[in-house]
Amino acid sequence: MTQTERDPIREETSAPLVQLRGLSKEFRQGRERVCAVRSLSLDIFPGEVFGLVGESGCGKSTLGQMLVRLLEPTEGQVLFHGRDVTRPSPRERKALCRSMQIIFQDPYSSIDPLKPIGWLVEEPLQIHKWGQSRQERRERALDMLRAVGLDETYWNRLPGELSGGQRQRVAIAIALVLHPEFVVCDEPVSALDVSVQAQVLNLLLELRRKLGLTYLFISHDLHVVSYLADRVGVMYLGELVELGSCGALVQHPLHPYTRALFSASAEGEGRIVLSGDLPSPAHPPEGCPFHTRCFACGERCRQEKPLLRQVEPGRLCACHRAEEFLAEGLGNSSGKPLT
Amino acid sequence: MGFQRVMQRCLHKGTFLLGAAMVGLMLLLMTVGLFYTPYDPEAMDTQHALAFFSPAHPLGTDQFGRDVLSRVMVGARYSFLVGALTVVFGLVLGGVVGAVAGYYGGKIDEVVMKLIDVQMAFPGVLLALMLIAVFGNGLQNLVLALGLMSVPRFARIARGGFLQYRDAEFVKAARARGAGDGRILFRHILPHLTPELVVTGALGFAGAVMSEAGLSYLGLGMEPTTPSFGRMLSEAQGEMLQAWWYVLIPAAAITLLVMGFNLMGDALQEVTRHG
Amino acid sequence: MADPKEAVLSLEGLTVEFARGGASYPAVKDVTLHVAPGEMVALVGESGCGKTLTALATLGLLPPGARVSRGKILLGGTELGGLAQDQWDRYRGKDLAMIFQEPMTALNPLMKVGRQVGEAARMHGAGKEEARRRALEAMAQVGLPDPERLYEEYPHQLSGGMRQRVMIAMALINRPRLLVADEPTTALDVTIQAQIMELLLQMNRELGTAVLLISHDLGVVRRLCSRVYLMYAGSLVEWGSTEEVLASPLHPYTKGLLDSIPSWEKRGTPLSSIPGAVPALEERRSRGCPFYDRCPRRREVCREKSLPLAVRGTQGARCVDAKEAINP
Repeated sequence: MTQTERDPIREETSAPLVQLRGLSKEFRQGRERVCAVRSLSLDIFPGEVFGLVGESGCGKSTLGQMLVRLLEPTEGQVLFHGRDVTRPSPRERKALCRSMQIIFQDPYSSIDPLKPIGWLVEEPLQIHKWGQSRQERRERALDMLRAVGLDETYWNRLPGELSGGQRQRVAIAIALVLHPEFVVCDEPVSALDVSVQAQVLNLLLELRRKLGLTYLFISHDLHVVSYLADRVGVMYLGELVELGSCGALVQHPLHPYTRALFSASAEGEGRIVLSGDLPSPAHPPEGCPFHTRCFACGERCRQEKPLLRQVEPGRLCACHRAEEFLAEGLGNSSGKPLT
Repeated sequence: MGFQRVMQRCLHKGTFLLGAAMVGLMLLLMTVGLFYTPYDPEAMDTQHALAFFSPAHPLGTDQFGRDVLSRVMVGARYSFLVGALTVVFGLVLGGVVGAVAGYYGGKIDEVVMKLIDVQMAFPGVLLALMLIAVFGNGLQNLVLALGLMSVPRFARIARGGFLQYRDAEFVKAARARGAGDGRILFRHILPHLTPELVVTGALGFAGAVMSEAGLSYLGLGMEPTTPSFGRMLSEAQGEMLQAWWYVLIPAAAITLLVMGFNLMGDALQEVTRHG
Repeated sequence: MADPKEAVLSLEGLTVEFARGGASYPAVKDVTLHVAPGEMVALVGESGCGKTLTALATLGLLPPGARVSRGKILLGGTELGGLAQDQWDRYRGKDLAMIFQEPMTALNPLMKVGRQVGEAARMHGAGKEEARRRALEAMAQVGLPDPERLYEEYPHQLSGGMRQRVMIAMALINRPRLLVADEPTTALDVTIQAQIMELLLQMNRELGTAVLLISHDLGVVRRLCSRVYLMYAGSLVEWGSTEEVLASPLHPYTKGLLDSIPSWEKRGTPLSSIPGAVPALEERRSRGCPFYDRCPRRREVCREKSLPLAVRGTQGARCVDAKEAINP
């Protein structure tokens, strides 16, 4: 099993906040077993924004939901502050909800449409019996509502009266009112218009600074991820294929899949258009899972599955030809940029 | 749609208001009857048996000279009681069974739904007749029988609703917040099902009043001395040639209740389905 | 701008009104645009800006409650505005075709893919055999592998990207003069998006079909379209060649939109965003600039007065500030 290589600078300053150890999730689909996440290992450090990118069906949302225990892993472990929290007791589980939270993509379906905004923001405090009195809880909820840019006039309003951006603000307030340490953001701005998206991204970054949050930021939008992530992991068919600092990945992607992804949003020449469709996760290809669509595929790729391994400090890649590409000067920052 | 909004819309619908007026009239009669009736409903006066409507007896008298208005006022009590108890019985039992089946799913769901299918395949009235034949007449057995009959309806609706909302994103979000099953079931999912359950309740109420009247008519419902509409109807039938008007009164009372609840239920349903 | 006389499609002062609760509100207001033969033009805006409604009006497919209250829709000089539904059918699927955002909902789930593709040919006079031949040809042309086999399959058996290819094959089978594409890549994954964009470019080159692309994604627009029109709250705010508009926008809304797109280069600094949200249809200003309430450069005159036209080269915008910036 591959272990995530830690950034040497971070190594000295902090221990990982969240660690995934060989995490897998299988779903039953009729008679078939579909492996949505396959033996994935990953460390997330305090205070960072870890971007997780990939196309639909790559398992990124499944991963996020396993972290907040909405789904139970089939195999592997989740460690929080070094403690195994994979299968918590009901009490531990509730305590974990205070420190690990999730924000969903669609603010139209992720908040209960029948409850007033104030009730919704106050609910987590009530569940966890936070504070001494009703009054204290109300104050805290109001503060949170203000922190996301909505004033007390919203307290008694229903979600139906709010715009998409405002609803997402409410969803953020609900997730953060207990001041968690770690938040899974599952495509939090994908359902929003560009101008509103910017407001919500700014808010998320501001709250991270104020509350000292750590984000796992799941997205298919590479513009968004390259704007705010510190490190980025790229998933393909349930596995990590590349992981590294955001700058390294955005400017000098190494894995052919990462290159294709980032070139899709690039301008001018050098655009890589992959042929073919995503294979079904129920029947992943033999050998390298990406070989059916890879433009640099060799004989070995069809036979043997490449391991995720460190190819340069702080960067992991699962490609047989990673070292070769690196030698060509593709991946590192001293090499020529990809055009 | 929230229940409040549903009610607001209903108040603008003619059919709902008509139904509410019909039920309201019966409710008024019953409420007044709790404190005051023109005559003792049991007091016989054979000299004035089968009298036509008159100022002294606005709805006439029956074959023993008892005041029909007073008997209707008291009889309404039993109709409401049977209807309400039956709905509460069905709602609570069916709701819980359906919620558990829908929310937890899997084996529990399969077993529960099979049991309900079996019960639905069994004619309801037959079940009621059987229960009463074994345990005898009376309010308790009647409610038990009618309540059991209405369980599947409520269970199906509750199951469908809980199944639908179990995986809704806002329910997932609540779970991630640390909400327990109880809170999710009652605070988050149940309010979404209230309108539909109320519709079923209203229709179930009408059905129960109907069934009670039917069983009492056959002499299988309430104890023979109770002035229930079904029994009055069966008594009036014997006197139809001498006093055709007498039969109209219990029939009208039943019609008002059943139609009233049905109209209200239909209007509610229309509002919840089509906004 | 293309010469309106030669345009495949000209909208002139198109206004679409929505009736709600007794009043009617203009959801599309005085939109004038032209698409020249063989040209790819984009109509860009955020959700609720009226871009899809404009597209639907162009094909006579307005939803109930909406109607064209003013303006002209000209297809190669023929006025389509007042046509009855059956008259529209002469043009739709033949001269005019449309593809939608969600290919799964736009395809009939119970009909074999091949027959759906051939249907448009059948409806416009082709025989059964000919329709089949042309359907297979169209399917091969849009890069669907093994058309013979796919012809017999149902939509749910295809992937999202393949479905969108089927939609494109359907739209192009009669060689329309104009293709209206409503967010054709939005529902697709990044790598599949790239494929569909390539396909649209290739079809445009090979068949010379003019395309009106409806999109919110400026990246897609930059890749595909030579000219762009920007809409805000039902009105056109800026138009011109894509390159110029995106490089040096005139209208504050265009600027705001471009600035709010996150990117690697903008890391570390807060994104500039446009405060507030697009107003709901009922709350829009009836006079003055539609962007007034959110505009960082608004003046008193913008509130009530009709706005002057600011022109620079091929680029145009409706904005006082832009006009003054051009001729101080």
